Amino acid sequence: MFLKDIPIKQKLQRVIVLIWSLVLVVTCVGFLGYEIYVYRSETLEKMSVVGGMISSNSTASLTFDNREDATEILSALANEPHIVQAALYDANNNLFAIYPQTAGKNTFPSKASAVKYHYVNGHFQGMQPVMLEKKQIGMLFLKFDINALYLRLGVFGIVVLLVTALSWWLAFLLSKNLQQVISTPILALAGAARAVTEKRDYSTRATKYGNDELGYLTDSFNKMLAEAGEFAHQLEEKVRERTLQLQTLNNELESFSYSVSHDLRAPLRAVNGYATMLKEDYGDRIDAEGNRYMDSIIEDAGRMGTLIDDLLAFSRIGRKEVVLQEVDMKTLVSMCLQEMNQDASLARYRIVVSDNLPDCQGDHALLKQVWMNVIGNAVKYSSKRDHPEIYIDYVDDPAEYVYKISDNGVGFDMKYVHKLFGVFQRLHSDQEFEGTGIGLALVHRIVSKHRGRTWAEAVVGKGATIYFSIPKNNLSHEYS
Amino acid sequence: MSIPEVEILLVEDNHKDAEMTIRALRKVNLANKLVHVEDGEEALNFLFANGEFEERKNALPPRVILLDIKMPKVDGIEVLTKIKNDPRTKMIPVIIMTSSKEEQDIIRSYQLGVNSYVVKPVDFESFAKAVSQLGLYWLLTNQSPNLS
Amino acid sequence: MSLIKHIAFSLLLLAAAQNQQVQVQREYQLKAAFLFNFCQFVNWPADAFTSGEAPLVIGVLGPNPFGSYLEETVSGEKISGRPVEIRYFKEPDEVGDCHLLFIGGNNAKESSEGIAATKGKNILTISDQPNFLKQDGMIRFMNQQNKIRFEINVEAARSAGLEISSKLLRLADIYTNPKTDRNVPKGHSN
Repeated sequence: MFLKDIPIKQKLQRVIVLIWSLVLVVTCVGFLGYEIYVYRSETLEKMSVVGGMISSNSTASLTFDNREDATEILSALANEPHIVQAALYDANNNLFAIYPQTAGKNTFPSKASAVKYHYVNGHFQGMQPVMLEKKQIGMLFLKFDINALYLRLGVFGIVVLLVTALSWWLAFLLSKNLQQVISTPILALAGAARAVTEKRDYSTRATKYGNDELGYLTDSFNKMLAEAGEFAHQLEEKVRERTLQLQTLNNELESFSYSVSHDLRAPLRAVNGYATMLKEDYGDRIDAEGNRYMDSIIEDAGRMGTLIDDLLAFSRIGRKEVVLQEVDMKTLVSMCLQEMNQDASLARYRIVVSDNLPDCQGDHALLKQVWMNVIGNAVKYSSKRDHPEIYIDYVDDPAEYVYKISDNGVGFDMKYVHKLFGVFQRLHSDQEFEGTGIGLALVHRIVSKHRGRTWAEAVVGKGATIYFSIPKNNLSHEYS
Repeated sequence: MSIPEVEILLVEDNHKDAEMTIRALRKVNLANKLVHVEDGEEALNFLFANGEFEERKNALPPRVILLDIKMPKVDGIEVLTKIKNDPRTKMIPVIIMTSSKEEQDIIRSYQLGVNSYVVKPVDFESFAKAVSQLGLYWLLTNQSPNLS
Repeated sequence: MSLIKHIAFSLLLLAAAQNQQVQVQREYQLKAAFLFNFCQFVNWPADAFTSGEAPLVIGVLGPNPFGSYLEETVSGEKISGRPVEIRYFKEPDEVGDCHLLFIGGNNAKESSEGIAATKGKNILTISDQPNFLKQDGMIRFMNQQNKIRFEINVEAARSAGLEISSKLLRLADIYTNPKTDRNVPKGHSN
C-alpha cells in the first residue's frame, strides 16, 4: 500500500484528506446528476408547453392547408432562443412548414414519426402530435439547443471547483492539527522506544496523553520498560558477579599451576636425583635387578617431569591472549623444520611443503606451536617407516585457510578419531610411541582460539592427515 | 681471624636440591668455597653482614650467587631486588635457579637485572650438567670486575 | 378515410384538373371539407342544441353544388361528440333547425332571403355570393390565385351568438361593415 512506509503524521493527514476528497467527489457527482435531471425535466416541460402552444395555434393552418400561416406561427419561436429548429408535418407526415425559413429543408426529418424527446449531437429533439377534436392532424418537430445546459454545468463546475479547493484546503489545515491527537502519543512512544534501543537507557519513559487505547499502550510500554530495565540491571549484576568469580578462578588456577610447576617438580627432581646418586655411588654394590629398578625410578620420574611440563604449557596457552598479525605460514613451516632438524636429524624424511601455502591472520608464537606439534606428530608416527614421507599442503575454501599435514606413518583407526584432539588421549601405547597426549590437544586449543577447526583422516598402517583451519576474516577484538 | 673467601653463595630452601647442586659442583671442584643459606633473609644478612654474619663486615663479597625464587619469608625476587639496588652488591653476578617456568618470573627477573635464569631440570643428569656448566662459566670463564 | 387525407387528396386533384367541369367539382369537394372544418372552429351557444348528443346540422339552401361530397365528408365524423347531419332546403321558409347554412344560387335576392330566414337563430351562414357579407352574411368563399380563401363578417356572427375561433380568423380576410364605424381588430382573442 502506498501509505505503508511514510511517517504516521503524514499517514493520518493523508487518510483524512483522502476521505474528505472522496466525500466531496461523491457529493459533487450527486449534485451534478441532480442538476442534469432537473435541467432535463425543466427542458421537457418547457418543450411540452411551447409545443402545446404551437400545436394548438397551428390546428387551423393544418386543417385549412395554410402554409403561410403555419410558417408565421412557427416564426413566433424567434422569442425562444433555445429552440433552434421547428417544423410542422401534415396528416400524411409530410413536411408542411419549417422554422427558421433560412434552414434547408433537408436539415429536417423528411417524414414525421412520433419520437420522444432525446439528445442528439448536442441537441434535444423530438416530435409531438398536433391534435384537433381528438384526432391527429399533424406533427410538430422541435429541436432544442443544449448549450444552456453546458453553460449551467460550466457554472456548476466552477462552483464545485472553488468549493472543493476551499474545503480541501480547510481539510488539509484541520487534519494537520487534528492528526496530532493521534500521532503525538504514538510519536512519543516511538521516540521512547528509539531512545531505549539506541542508548539502552531503560530509565526512559513515554509521556502519556490520554486514557484511550494509546494511553493504555503507553502505560504498558512504560511498565515493560521498567521491567526490562530491572531485568537488564540484574543481568549486568550477574555478569559482573560471574566475571569476578571467573577472574578469581583464573587467579587460583594460575597460582595452582605455579605451585604445580614449582612444588611438584622439586620432589620429582629429588626422586630422580637421589636415584641417580644412588646408582652412581652404590650401583656396583647392587645386583643387575636392583640396577634395573633404579633405572625405572629414574626414567619414570623424568617422564612425570615431562608430563607436568606439557600440562603447564597447555594451561598457559589456555590463558594466553591471541595477538593477531599477518603470519607467513610458509616461512613459519620452514623455521619449524629447521628447529626440529637440530634436535633430531630429519634427513631420512622426504618432506614436501606446498609453494602456495597461504598466509593468514593469527598469533605467530601460537601458530608456531601448532606447526611444531603437527609436524612433530607426523615425524613421530612415520618414524618407523623405511622411507617416511610428510606432505604439507592446503585446501581451497572460500571462508577459511585450510592447512593439511599428511604422513605415511602408522595411522589410526577412524573409530577413535573423536579422541584424537583430547587432552591425555593417546591412540598408541608408550611402548610403540612415546608421548603425553598433549600435542594435538594443544593444537586444537590454539586453533579454537583462532576460531578455526581441527579434524583428521587416517587409515591404519597407511598414514594420517591432520587438518586445521584459520578463518579468513579474522578480527582481533573477537578474541580474549 | 681471617674471614674465609666465599666464591659461591647458594640460596636454596630445599635441602635435597641444595645437596644435588653441591654434589654437581663438587664433581668439578667448585664446591670448596661455597656457602649455603636456606632462605632470603639469611642470604641478605650474609651479603650485608647483619645478624649472625656480622663478622663479615669487611669480607669480600661472593663471586657468584645461585638464587632460588620460591622460598619462605623473603623470596628470591625480593632478594634480587635488594642486591641489584645496593651499590655494594649490584655488581655480583646473580643466577636464578628455579623450578618455575612462568613467563612473568623470567621477565621480572631480567627487569631486575639478573645475569642468568636457569630452570632446574627434573632429570638429574641434565640438572648436574647445567649446574656444573654454570659454575665453570661464572667462576672460570667469565671475567668479573675486581670487587676487593 | 380521414378528413385531412381527404383534403390533401382534393388539393392534389384540383391542381391536376384540366377541364372546367372537373375543376368545379374539385372546388366544391374542397368547399364541402371547409364547411365541415368551420364547424370545428366555431362555438355555438349551448341552447342551440336540444341535448348533449343532439347532432350538428349542416344545411344547404337552394341548388346543391356539392353533389354527394358533403355526405362523404361528414360520414362517421363527430364534432365535440356530436354526429353531423346534412339537410337540404329548397326555399328559405323551409329553413328549420340547423347550425350552419350554405346558401347556394347566384343572385343577391336569394341570398338576402336566406339570410333573413336565419335571423334570430344561431346559424352560421356561408355563401359564394360576392355581396353576401354586405347582406349580413357571415362567411364568403373567394377564389384567389387558384386557392380557396374566405372572408368573415365577425360582427354578423357575433350578433347570431356565434364565437369564431381566432385560429380561424387568422386564416380569413375580415370584413368590416362600412355602415358602422366599428373596427374589428384582426388578431388573437382566445
